[in-house]
Amino acid sequence: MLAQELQLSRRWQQLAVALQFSILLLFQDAFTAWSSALFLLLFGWLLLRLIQQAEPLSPRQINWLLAPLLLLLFWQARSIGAMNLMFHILLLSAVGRSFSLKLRRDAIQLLWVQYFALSCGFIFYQQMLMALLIFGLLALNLTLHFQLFAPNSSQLKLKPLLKTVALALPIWLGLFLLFPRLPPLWQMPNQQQASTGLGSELDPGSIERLVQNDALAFRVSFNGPPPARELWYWRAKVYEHFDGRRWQEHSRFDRRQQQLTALATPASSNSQNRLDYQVLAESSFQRDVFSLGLPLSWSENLQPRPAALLQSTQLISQRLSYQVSSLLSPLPLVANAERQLNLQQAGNSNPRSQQLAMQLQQQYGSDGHQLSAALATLFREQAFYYTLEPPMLGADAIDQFLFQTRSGFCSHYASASAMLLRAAGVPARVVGGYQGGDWQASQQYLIVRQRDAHAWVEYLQDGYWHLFDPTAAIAPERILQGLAQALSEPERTLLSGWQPGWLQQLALQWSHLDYLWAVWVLGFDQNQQSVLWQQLAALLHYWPLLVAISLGVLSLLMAYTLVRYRQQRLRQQQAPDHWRRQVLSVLPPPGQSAEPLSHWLNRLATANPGQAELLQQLRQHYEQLIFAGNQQAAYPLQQLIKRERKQLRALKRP
Amino acid sequence: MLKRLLQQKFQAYLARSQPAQPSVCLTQKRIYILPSRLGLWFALLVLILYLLGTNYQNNLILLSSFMLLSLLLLTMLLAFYNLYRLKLSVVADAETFANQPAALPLQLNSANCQMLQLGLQGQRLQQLVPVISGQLAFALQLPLLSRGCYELPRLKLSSQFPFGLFNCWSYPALSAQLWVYPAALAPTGQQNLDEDPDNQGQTQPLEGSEWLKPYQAGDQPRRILWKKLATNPQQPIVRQQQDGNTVNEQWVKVPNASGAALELALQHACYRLQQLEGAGSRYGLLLPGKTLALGQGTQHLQRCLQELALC
Repeated sequence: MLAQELQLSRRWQQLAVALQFSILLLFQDAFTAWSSALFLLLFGWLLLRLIQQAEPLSPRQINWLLAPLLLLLFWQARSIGAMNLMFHILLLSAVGRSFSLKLRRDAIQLLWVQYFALSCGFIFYQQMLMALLIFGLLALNLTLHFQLFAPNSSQLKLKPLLKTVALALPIWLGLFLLFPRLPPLWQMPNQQQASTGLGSELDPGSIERLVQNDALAFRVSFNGPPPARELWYWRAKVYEHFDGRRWQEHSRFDRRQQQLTALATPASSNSQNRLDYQVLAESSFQRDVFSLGLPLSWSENLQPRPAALLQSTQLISQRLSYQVSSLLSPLPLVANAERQLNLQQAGNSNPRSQQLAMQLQQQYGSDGHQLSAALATLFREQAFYYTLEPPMLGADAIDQFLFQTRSGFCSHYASASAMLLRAAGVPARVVGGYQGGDWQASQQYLIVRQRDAHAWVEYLQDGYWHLFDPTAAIAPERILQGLAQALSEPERTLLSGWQPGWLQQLALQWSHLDYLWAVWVLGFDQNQQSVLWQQLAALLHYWPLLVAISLGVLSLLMAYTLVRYRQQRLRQQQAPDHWRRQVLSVLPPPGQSAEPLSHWLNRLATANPGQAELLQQLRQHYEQLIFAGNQQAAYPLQQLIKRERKQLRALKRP
Repeated sequence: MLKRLLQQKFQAYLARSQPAQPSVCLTQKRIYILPSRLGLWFALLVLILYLLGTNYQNNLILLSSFMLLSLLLLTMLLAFYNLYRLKLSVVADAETFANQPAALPLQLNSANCQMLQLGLQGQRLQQLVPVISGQLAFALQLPLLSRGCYELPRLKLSSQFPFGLFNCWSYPALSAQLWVYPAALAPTGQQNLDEDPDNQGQTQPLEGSEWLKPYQAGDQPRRILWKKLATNPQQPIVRQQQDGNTVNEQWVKVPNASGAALELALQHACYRLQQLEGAGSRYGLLLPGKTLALGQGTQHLQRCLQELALC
């Protein structure tokens, strides 16, 4: 096409370079320091060439430029990672193309790559603002695309643009809502990123780090009223292996050895305790998800793990939405092996604690309920302190904690309690997860942050695992340095009171908006789509109404076109030479185009005496209409032309 | 082979269904639309993004995929409406001299048509019209032709206007003649017309400054002989008068020849006709087997030149 042979404007090239630069910024997570620096150098050179208005490089020169860079990238492929290598190559190809831009057709592949690269940016960013930014960049690329095929002078006009957007938007959203979705077809590589949240082992101090983090962990909305606050123990991990200092996940949780274990349903499932809820988990780069009590059923993107836990079918590299239905009752023991596993002790470590456990066992026997109550009394009545900055513990950490430092965090209390319970002959384990959260009363959902991370104990009694939270037993006056750190950022600012109220309101509204975004845009999945389809199908029930509405719309449209057509006809008829052209269209053309029609009709009449009367009639009507302004002559004239078309055509020229 | 056959069939179909007309309006039946190469790549992009979004279960990638898909669908409509109801009309026949480029004056009419590419079907020479909004006078450049009179071949209009994802094109046929007159060539050694011995004998000096002739449309009414009108009202008679005294009446003669000699003679005749018209003379044309009576004016010159072109 000729249009593609036009020169590219400098402004276009500048915008394209700006776009590529923002792609570099978007891909920062995938880029290493040296590759970022390399691209910055390339951009600098590109800008310099643009400013100097240098001639574009030839394909040969481009190859010489890009080949070594590509080799470098492939050489470093192992350290970069497969997926990040793809981002590097995408950006490199775009930048390389920018060096050789001259004509419009050179830029077509560039546009394609930029569309693709920008869309890949959503792998890294799904927050609302970033998503809006990326869509803005996509719109910029769209404008560049438009300019590539539009006249040089053309400016985007608002009205046609709005019309186009109004047409495209329903198609776009309709496709998003209704186009069939598929489950993942194959495993995609993920970008390498550190996981957040609880780790696979719990040593004293692992939770403190989390607790100082205000980041969002997950959000929950309940179908129905929320359960009582003391039941908000979100289980994520179970630590069953104790080495005297650390609690670790047992190897039965290892993915390779793991079989899909069916969770035992309790004999008597009390439907009143059953709770349905939807969780929206932030990306954690782990697979563990959060649930309450005993999960009975869950959405398809989850699978069960031992100890009544759930996990995602794939790494949570982006926000994950899932539904669970749980029973809020003690978990049943699944197998005897589980009991044995949770009685294991770590050899001869912590002798003083073992001694304490023996005393307790003599006093209360191996009764979990009584033992846990005794432990709670111990923590409450003795000088145990709760602090975010516990002193360092050496070997025999539990001994040191229980008898020397006596100040610690939830992980200290949980591991000490579990160890004591095991030593007293009660199967016990440490559970890691989140406790509590901020209930948003107006929007009816729960926000759980990383700072809500918690550890507690589960002990076995009468075939059921019961929950015991030793940290809750500490007297409130012995909470050290807790308050400031234990509060979330908004709460702290609320306390200090220097922030204006409207700003807080704004922040709160923003977080609600973000929640809606997460639920309706990010969380829209096959389930919700099938619900939507069902609702649409239910609409079909009202088909007479639908038919009536569509008929009404259709007839309105038809009436509108008819009116417009009439108006157009009328305007044509009012044109000065409309009737002259009408009459001439059925006559042989006059020799001189300037000849008056009446004169020409007269001349035709002399040449065709047989048709003289007809021609006379025609002339009379015509003159009536044009010169006397008699609009009523229009109809007979039209009829005459229509009726006598053949005879008039056959007239002999004078 | 098959392609050629199909092309022949298609041309026959075009000739049958869309005969040449002085004015063509592009309607639904005349516009063809197919995805361009970029359009196919674009569809591939949509597919890749859909797979990517599906595999990552990433709604935002799916959203961008659907955005591009809706753009693709919408562009199809926009590309069609860009050409729809475009009207082409021939203003006049194209005239030129051999070995000089000709242009056919056309009138293009459209509410809004952008980046229209125009040319003759099967020709490399193409022209770009950036914007038509309303009425536009346009000169369609024609390739170099040798002497003669040609029918205007079928045109090819095409546009990729919004986004270049679809090729939209049409093959309208306009009825117009391309007149290619012989190139004007001054006869060597005969610069001065008046001394041309060939034509000297054919000059008919006028006796007196007036004569009578039948009325023709365009004659001034004050020259009508009103006295004679009473006897024959159907055929008025006018007085004809030459303005200057130096009235030239010249005959341009083309000898009965063929081949290169004929061409040369035609070129000379063309030159002389233009000279005579420029000098304000009355002149006629003598062709083998045909005579054009004395006359003057651009129309007369055109008629004479057309005869030369057909010779």
